[in-house]
Amino acid sequence: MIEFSQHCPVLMTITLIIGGALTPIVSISRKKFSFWWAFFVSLLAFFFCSCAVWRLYTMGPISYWLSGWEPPYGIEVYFDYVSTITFLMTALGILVIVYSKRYILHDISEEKLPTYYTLVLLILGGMVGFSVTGDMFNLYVFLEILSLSGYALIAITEEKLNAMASFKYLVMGSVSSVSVLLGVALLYNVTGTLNMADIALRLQQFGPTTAVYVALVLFIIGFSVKAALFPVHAWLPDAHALAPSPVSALLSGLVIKIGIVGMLRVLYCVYKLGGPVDFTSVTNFMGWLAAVTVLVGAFFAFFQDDIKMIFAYSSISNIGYILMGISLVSFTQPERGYLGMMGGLVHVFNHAIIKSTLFLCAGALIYKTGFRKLSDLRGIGKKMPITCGVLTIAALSIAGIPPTAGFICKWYIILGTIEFGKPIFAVALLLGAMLVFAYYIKIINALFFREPNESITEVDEAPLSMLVPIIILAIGCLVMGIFAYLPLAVIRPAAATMLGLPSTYLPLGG
Amino acid sequence: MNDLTELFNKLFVNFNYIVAATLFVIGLYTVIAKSNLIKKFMGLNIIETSVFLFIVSSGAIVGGKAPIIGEGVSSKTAFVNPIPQALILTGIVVAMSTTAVALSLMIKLYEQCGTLNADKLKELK
Amino acid sequence: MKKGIIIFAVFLFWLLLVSAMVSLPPMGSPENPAYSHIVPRYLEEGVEEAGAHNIITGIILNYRGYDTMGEVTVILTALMGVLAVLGRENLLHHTSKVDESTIERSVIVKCVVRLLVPFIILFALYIILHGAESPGGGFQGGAILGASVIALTLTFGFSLTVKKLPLKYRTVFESAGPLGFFISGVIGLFCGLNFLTYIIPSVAPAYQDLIRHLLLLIIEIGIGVGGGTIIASVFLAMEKVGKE
Repeated sequence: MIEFSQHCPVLMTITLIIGGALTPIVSISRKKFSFWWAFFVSLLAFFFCSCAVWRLYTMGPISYWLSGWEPPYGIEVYFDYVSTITFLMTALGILVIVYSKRYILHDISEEKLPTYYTLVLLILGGMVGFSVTGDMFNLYVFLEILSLSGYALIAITEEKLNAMASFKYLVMGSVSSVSVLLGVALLYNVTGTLNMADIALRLQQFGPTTAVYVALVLFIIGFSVKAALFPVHAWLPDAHALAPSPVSALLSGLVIKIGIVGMLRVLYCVYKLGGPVDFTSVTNFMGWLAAVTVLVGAFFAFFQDDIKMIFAYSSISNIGYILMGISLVSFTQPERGYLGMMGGLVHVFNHAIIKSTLFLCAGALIYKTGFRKLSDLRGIGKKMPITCGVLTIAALSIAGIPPTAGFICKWYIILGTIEFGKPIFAVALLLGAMLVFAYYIKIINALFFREPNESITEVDEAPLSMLVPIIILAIGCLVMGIFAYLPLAVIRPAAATMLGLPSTYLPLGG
Repeated sequence: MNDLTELFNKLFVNFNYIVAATLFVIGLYTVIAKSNLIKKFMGLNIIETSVFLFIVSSGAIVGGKAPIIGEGVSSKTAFVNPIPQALILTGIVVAMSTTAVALSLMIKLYEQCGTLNADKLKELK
Repeated sequence: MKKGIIIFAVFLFWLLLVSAMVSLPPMGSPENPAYSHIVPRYLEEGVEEAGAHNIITGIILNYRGYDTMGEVTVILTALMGVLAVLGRENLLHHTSKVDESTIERSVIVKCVVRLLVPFIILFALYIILHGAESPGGGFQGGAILGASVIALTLTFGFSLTVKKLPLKYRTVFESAGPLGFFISGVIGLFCGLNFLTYIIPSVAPAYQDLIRHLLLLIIEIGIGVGGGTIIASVFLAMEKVGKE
């Protein structure tokens, strides 16, 4: 078992990638078989991921040398506490694939089914590979796999605006990928190596030059575009709102988190707190941008009528919260950043669960009624009670009402800003939270309490294959909120190791 | 005066890098300023090429040969750095893949809207 | 006005990049960290360890084989992206611009292409199979292979290519790249070694080298065939543009 679990971080990546490559072959004669194949592959990947996580929490991080070459000479796969996000990715992948079984035929023809499932498996494989790799260039390669499949999944429907949204995403995403590549190239030129741990070591040895700072700026720009930080968020609303709903759930729940994971890797695994480069001035500037992002996202969401557009803008706002949490670090006193980092990392998990619930519920409403505007969907709550009930739970979660998942992480992030001595950020975050609360109340009000739309007749509950995933996710929202110590206990070592503290670190009184 | 000579010296030695930076910026300008989607995309290709130029230059060795080791050749300094060449092979393939997806998106856009001008496409919305 | 702001911002970015470029170690010097850290081992022991006289091939397939697996997956993703946007070529509903074209392709072009294509394919195979010893390898050979299909299509028409290369076979060949890596890599995994290990200690030492050559060859052929087919398929999918 120990022998076997050591291979798991690589096994889950290649399972998803090879499974994706095989999908068109296994479904040559029966296109619909591709669903069962994708379901099986994602289950297998989830199993491997569970083994890897089990080993991580019993025996510590896994360092896996591909082809058996020792790290600076070959590629290293490094499964550490931040990589636990792969657990979420594979689990959410299963739910999205199950949900797609009925939903996706609403948007695409049967001809394209194998292509769709291939792309879903490849985007999952790209994300998993990205999160577990310990090599800078490998990071870039997996970044490209997941970005390319993301662009394609947005444009898979025949709608008129999708190609435009996808193209906008492609141009901005490619520029950001290339700037990441240039950053990798600069670091390679300075240090002569591509392995993350080795780069950190050799940066210490050579000391900082201008090129090292510029590389940091390029990384931040690149990953900010992927995470849709404020000045470069323009691609997100169209792309996430127009994509088919399961794809929106993947993009909004997981793909934008890739920017966060990338930043964590670069800032805290390569440059390192206490290392040769004092990057806190950059991260504090990012904190300001994050505060603006929270407000801008919440503000624009308020004026939308399209239900998926609201959720897309709300994603921008929530990415602001996460970035705020992970960027408030002090170079000399790492303990001071602990609360914020903790909240940010927990919010990565919670937001992924909540936002995919919201998008999948919106998908169920669109699937049954064909409407996507809030004004058209009024009063649907009585006809589709389960879907709308789940949507309400998720909406309350994202607004941060106490017994649900969203509360604990926002609480920690706000505590973190105060601990860090930036109460102005706390004010911005609270203001954002109030705006979010207001527009989710607007949604709940429209769904349940306004008189029904007459043109919606004979609408019943969504099919079972769509209800099961959203109910599981809603239970997840509640469990992550009521038993909040569970995610906290799981994330605690990740937050501590990112800050360079021992993985068993506990703040005083915490 | 001495500092200036040194700076010029460095500019001259790292000439390829400077050219790569310039190309990067030209591509970036094209991506931002041009409204024709195909021109935007050509700008993106210029940026990618500039990064390849930078990577491959950082592996150059004065008087180096291609790192193919045959009979009787084994002197260490005679070869250029093979890693950047392996890296840009990957980079070129990635750039080609992005180009393929972008071109297919443009074909679809042109089929649907009849134009590839970003300003006109915005009006069509 | 708008242009002026863009030029100014881009100029600032240029200054930032140039300041980084100037601070880098001088180009072309053997004392650079990029040349003195990992490269010596690759150059001195690469032929023995990685099993290829061409060090670049050794790096691509052996030292950094996992990257190349990702790279092959990127091409497959690109094809899937094109298919997601445009869909497969469909001869029933669409007619190709090439077939419809009123310009009759001349006898000279047809003859030359017909004569040359077998040699082009032969050359592509040489490049694919000889990648370990000389410049070349799977990607380069695959591109030539794809180009030969495009040349055939442009001269003899779309329907002929689709008839000669049926969708059934193309679907299988397109995934050849990742599959080649999987087949070669998984063998090491079953012997209790890490993924993508080509030297298997439980085999008699005399055969180890042979097995490694075979495994690398499987990967090269997979990359070449997969890359070539994907280029051809992308071309055919884009060709479909036409009228209902």
